[in-house]
Amino acid sequence: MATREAGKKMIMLKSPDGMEFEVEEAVAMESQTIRKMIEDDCADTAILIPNINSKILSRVIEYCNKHVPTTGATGAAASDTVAPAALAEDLKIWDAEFIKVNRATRFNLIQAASYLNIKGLLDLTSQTTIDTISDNSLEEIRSFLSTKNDYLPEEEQTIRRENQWAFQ
Amino acid sequence: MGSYLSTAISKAQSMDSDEVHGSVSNKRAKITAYVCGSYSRIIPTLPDELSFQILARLPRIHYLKMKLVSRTWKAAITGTELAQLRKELGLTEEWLYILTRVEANKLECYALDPLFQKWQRLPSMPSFANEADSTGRTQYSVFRMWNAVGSSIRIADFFRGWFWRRYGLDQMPFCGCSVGVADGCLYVLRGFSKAVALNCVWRYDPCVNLWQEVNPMISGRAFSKASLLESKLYVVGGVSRGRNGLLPLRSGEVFDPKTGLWSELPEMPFVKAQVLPTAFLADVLKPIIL
Repeated sequence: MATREAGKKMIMLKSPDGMEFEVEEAVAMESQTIRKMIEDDCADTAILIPNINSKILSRVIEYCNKHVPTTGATGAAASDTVAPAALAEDLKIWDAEFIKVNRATRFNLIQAASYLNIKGLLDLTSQTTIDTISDNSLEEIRSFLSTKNDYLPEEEQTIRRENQWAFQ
Repeated sequence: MGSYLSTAISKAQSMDSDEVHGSVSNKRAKITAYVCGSYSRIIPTLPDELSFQILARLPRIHYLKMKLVSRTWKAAITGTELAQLRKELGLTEEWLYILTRVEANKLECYALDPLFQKWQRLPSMPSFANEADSTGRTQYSVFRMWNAVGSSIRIADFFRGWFWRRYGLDQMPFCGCSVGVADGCLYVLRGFSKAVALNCVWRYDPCVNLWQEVNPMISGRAFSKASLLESKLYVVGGVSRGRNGLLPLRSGEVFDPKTGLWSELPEMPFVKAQVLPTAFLADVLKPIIL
């Protein structure tokens, strides 16, 4: 942060547990919620992000840092030297690593992505969650979600019959 | 002693039945608690709004399995909110549907998920039994009329001969239905059943995985053509039963999926009767009828 360029405005993000994160405006504006605040001039130098603790907020900032378009305030397209496909592939691998977190963290990230309105992060977290879920057996799904099977046996039987129509 | 024993037994029985009764009502109470309490959330630790975001990314091929997770999940998967969200996120899927006749009077529909390369059988289309009852009365007169038709109309002759040979009068197969797609639902516009062109229409909604009967067409028609235009289903032409056997239709009608109503279109200035016989034979003889 010491080598702050003149053209790059910095924004301070504060988590409710008192931590402060200084980020480039372009990075903070990956969040449509923050972008709107900045554009509407509601943001001073510091923005308090309610409901998102410092642990999650730091991860979110990490994601935004990686995903902020490299064509920033400087105007020049820094990504021109790298093929876009390779860049996308690189991001994909990074994302896959990034999302290797436990269920609670992932759910927190989903909530943060939704609140801060970061579409890419919401896509990533939701998609990974549903991919994990759909590969599992029903019992595993229920325990993963900590939800209960509330069907009566006969009801379950009816749905299972419907299920038999799927070809394997 | 005897009386004492019997009292004991009857007492025990009544206690048993009380117990059974009690456990049943307990179960019910529990279920109600699930529905009303914290378990009614799709994912207990997340607001439903976000659970829908997750569910929206679930490929449709998994719906049958996921419905088994819990009642809440079934309701969420079959509900309109999820379908709407998938539309907004551009996550709707296009599947290929094939309607095929497995027996003389039994149609079955299969769906192919092109992404997962998996086939799925749709629930059976509702039975034809009721129609058989209602059309049974008119059968005889239909065929008598066909008998009276001159040799110039060969379609009728062909039909009569062919069906007589293959099925006999009572088992004239169902054929000539048209299929259309509108608003994410599949429509089957009934064709001939027992020599009568029917006007009833069935709709398959993939969200709930069910066939429903919707408002019937204004005219009964078979072998009509259906197409979607500006979110409305246009059904034109086809044939119906006329005084001289089969009557090619100039009329058309349009169905609005939003209102569920049919309205008539102006008549077409032409009729495709001339090309009918060949097309007709090809259609009738096809093993797969769409």
